[in-house]
Parts: sequence; C-alpha cells; structure tokens
Amino acid sequence: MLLKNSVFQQHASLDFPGGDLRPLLSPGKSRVAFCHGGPDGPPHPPQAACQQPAVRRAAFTLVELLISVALGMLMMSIAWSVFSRSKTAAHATRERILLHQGAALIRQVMHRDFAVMAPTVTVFCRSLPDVALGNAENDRSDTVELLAMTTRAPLGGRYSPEGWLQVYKQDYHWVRWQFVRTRRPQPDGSTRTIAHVLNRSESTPVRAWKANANLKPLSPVPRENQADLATYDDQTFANMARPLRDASQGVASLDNNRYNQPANTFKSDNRINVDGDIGDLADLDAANLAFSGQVRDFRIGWVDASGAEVSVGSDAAADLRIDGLYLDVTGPAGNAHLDQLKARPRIIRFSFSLANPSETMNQNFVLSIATPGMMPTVAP
Amino acid sequence: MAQVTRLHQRAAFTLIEILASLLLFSLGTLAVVGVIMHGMNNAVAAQADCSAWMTAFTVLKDPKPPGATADGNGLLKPWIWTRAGSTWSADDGSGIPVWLYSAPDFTSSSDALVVDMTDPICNNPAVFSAGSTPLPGCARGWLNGYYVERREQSRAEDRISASQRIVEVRVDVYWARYGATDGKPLATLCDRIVRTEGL
Repeated sequence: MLLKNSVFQQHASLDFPGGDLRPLLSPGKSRVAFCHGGPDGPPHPPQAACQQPAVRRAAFTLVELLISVALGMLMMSIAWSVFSRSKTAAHATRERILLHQGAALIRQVMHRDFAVMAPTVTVFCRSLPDVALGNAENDRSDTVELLAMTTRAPLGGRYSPEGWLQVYKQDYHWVRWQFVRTRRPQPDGSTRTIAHVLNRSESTPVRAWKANANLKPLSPVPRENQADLATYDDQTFANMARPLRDASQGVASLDNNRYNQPANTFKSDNRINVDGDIGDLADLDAANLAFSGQVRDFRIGWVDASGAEVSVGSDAAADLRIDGLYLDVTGPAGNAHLDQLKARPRIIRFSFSLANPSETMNQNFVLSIATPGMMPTVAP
Repeated sequence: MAQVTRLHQRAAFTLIEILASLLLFSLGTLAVVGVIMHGMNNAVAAQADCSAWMTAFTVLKDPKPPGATADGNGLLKPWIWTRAGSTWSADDGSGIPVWLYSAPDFTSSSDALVVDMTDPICNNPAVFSAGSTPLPGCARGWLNGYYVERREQSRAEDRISASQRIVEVRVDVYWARYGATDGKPLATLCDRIVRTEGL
C-alpha cells in the first residue's frame, strides 16, 4: 500500500538483473524482500540496493523551490532590517548615555566649584570680546569666564588682618571656567557656530579646601563680639577671609596682579578692564581640561536669597559677580549686611547643550544646584 | 544500477520541513533581537539613573528651571516666561507651554496640602488638570528629555514665621512619552526644605 502509487512502482517494470520486482510490490507483501532469480531460479545473494527501504523520491517542484526561496529572502530581509535597526538604536543609546554622563560630569564639577563655594567666595562672570582673546583662529568667538576665589585657611590670623595676609597668599586659589563659542565661516559665506569649549582651570581649590577644612561653620548673619569675627576697616567679617591687603594698606591686587586690577574694583558695577591685561590664561589647558569639546552653549545664572533671578550667557555684555560671604558684613551702614544677604546665591542655574563627536545627536541639559541655606520662593 | 541508487535516495526536504526551519530561524532571530532590546532597556535604565536623578534634584529646589531649547543653530534659546498671577508658564518658541509653575501661597496660615502626595500618579487631574494651572507650589513640564511633575505641600504647623515655612516636596520624573498618560516614574525624590520669602 505504501508503495502502490509510488515512483518506485512506476519504475518497477525495469529489467532488474534479479528479475521482475513487481511481485514484491503487490499489496500485503513485505516492503523489503530479498532478490532472487525469478520464480524458479535460485535466490541471489542479497544486494544492498535491494535491501534499501523503498523511499519515495520527494523532489521539489519549481513552485516549491520558489516559495521556499521567497520565504527565506523575506525572513532574511525582516531579520536584516530588525538587526540593522537594533544596531542603530543601540548605537544611539550608547551615544545618548555618553551625553548624559558628560552632563553629569559637568554638573558634578559645577556643583563642587560653585554651589559649594558660592556662599563663601566671590565668583566673577565676565564676557570677553573677540579682541581680548587675541587668537586669530578663534576669531568671532566669545568667552564667558567664571572666576572663583577661595581660601583654605581664612582665619589663620584671626584677629590680625595683617596676619591673614601670609596665609592667604599661600592658600588662595582661582577656579577659572572658560566657555568659548566659535563661529567659523562656512563655504557659503555664512557663519555658523561649530564648536563650544568648556574649559576649567587646573586649580582645585575645593579639594584643598576640604583637605584643610579650617573653615568655621558659616554665620549667615554676622554676630558681633564673637570669636570668629574680625574687624577691618570698620567692617566685621564672619568666618571668611577678606581681600588681600597691599603694602599701602589698600586691598591688594589678586594673583600677582594677574588681572591688573585691584581687588576692590571687582564689583558688580565695575567692569573689568578687558581691554587691558585679562590674564595669561596659562592655567587653562584646553587639551587636558576641556570637559567637552561638544558643549554647544553654556549659560549660567542664579537665584539669590530674595528670589530675584540673574542670568548670564555667552552673549552677555556685562560682567557679573556673585558676592562672597566676606561681604556679609555689618558696618557703618548698619543693616547693610541684609542687602548683601539678599544677593547671596541660593540656586545656581546653568544650561548647556551637548553633542556627540559626530554631531549627529544633540541633547540639551538644564540643571540647577542649590547652595547651603534656605531656599527662596522663586519669582513669587 | 545508478538509476536504482538514485531511486532509493531521499532527495530533499519537504515543504513542511522548510517552513518549520524558517519558523525556528524566525524564533531565533526574535530571541536575539529580544536580547538586544533587553540590553538596550538596561542601558536606558542606566541613563535614567544618571540624568533623571539630576533632573529630579534640579526641580526639587528649583520649581522654575532655566529651560532652554535648541534653536537649530547649535545654540540654546531660553524659554520665554509669562506670568499670570502666581502662575508662570514657559514657552520654548513652539507656542505650546512646556512648563507650568504656581508659586506657593505664603500668606495662608492653613494647611496647603496636595492630594496623592505619596503616590506617583502621573498627570493626576486633581493636581495637574488639563488646561489649568497646577496647585500652588506645584509644577510640571518637560525638562532634559523627561516629563517632570513636582508637588509641594506644607501644613499650618510647618510655618516658622510669616516668611518662612517648611515644605515637603516630591518630584517624579517620567519618560516624556508618558506625559499624557500614566507611567512608572524613572526617579522619585522627596525632601523637606525650608523656604523663605520677603527677605
């Protein structure tokens, strides 16, 4: 029955050496039989061909082959597409994660440099015009420079302002953040911002500050007649160094006259002499200390204790200053310290945009970090 | 003889076998893709652990973040803020508000409680009803690629003075695609802060 209609049966009339095979294919007989020389002849030795199971020849038709090939190609195309998209998505995910990690790094260092120090140091933000850089390759570029000053042992000579000087000279540090925006001419004659660089100086004042944590707990409002207060020029300082003094008992210039400006001219209403010596920039190492060469934009601002908002970006024309705690003073003006307290930054805001090296992906980041102290009600 | 041998050969697969092979191949392909997608989800979760928390910390203290949107020229364009009473609305230039914030009411000596303060219910209509402003002290919007909700409440006994009070803040960070629906927050941050006014 199995072979009744099989191909084998169709060819059973072949003239086998052993005789006609058709009797073997009749219904009810065994599928496999030994070959013999015919009904009357002696049996031949079994031959391998004769003992093979009788299997049908199941060759494909052309239609079957075409269907199989089509299905295979269809599956391959689907698989290829899925794999391709998976690879692209995985690559994009990796790039995006790197962007977020870069943002986390910037936030971490910004927090260390500004949120931690802002209540205690003076931070300068200033925008420098192209000419100040004197760098032809960076023509048509702007710079926002963030300068911070701190000290690790402000009260080494607690009751002697002159005693502070030597300690202060040894311990003060600067943190310089420089953000450069470059606009490069395009082939079509237009200019396009192609690269922003966020650099930070190699000074690590907070690290030294923490390693020599001689700062006393901060007093938001100076208390007179307390051990941690000192008086200078009829002003009482709380827990923080005051500016250097020079030989003429004025406020000394800072950092070996790096900026060719007496420290007491660093005020929010006094522009830094950007047309003159802006510093040698020697402590900026773009190769080693650039946080990201793909920082497209960088803006910084803050919310002071009164809730007022101040912002500065790469297009800022004014120099801004975050006052240090040493300006939280009580002096002849009576309650002048309250005015200073109002200007104390409580929330440092910054935003920037990061792009991956191939500039095929861009992610904006807007972050705020809080300084120690009570939070103001923002823009009530 | 050669013909006999050819006749006894099992020449090829059947169509069923081919289809079964293709099915297995498909299952294998899907399994590999599934593994890749699982790995990507883990990577995205790692990203969320990194930046969603930064965003949560940002909004925790700063309910009116300095939002900015790329202007297409590689520069960030700050959001445009408009004020209506105590409510602030940010527009990134698209005409659609991307951030809403209602300043808390310090003059109130009564409880200023927010419903579902302990539950991460995205777009809770009782707090963030569509088309209306959030409750005082609350904010919502899109930041750093996430959808963020911020809730703030304080009780009468939390008032330290007329201008100072302790407030409880909760921030939930979601994927942006959950902005209009429900979803599980990527990051949730709760804290108590001292808020001042009128310094």
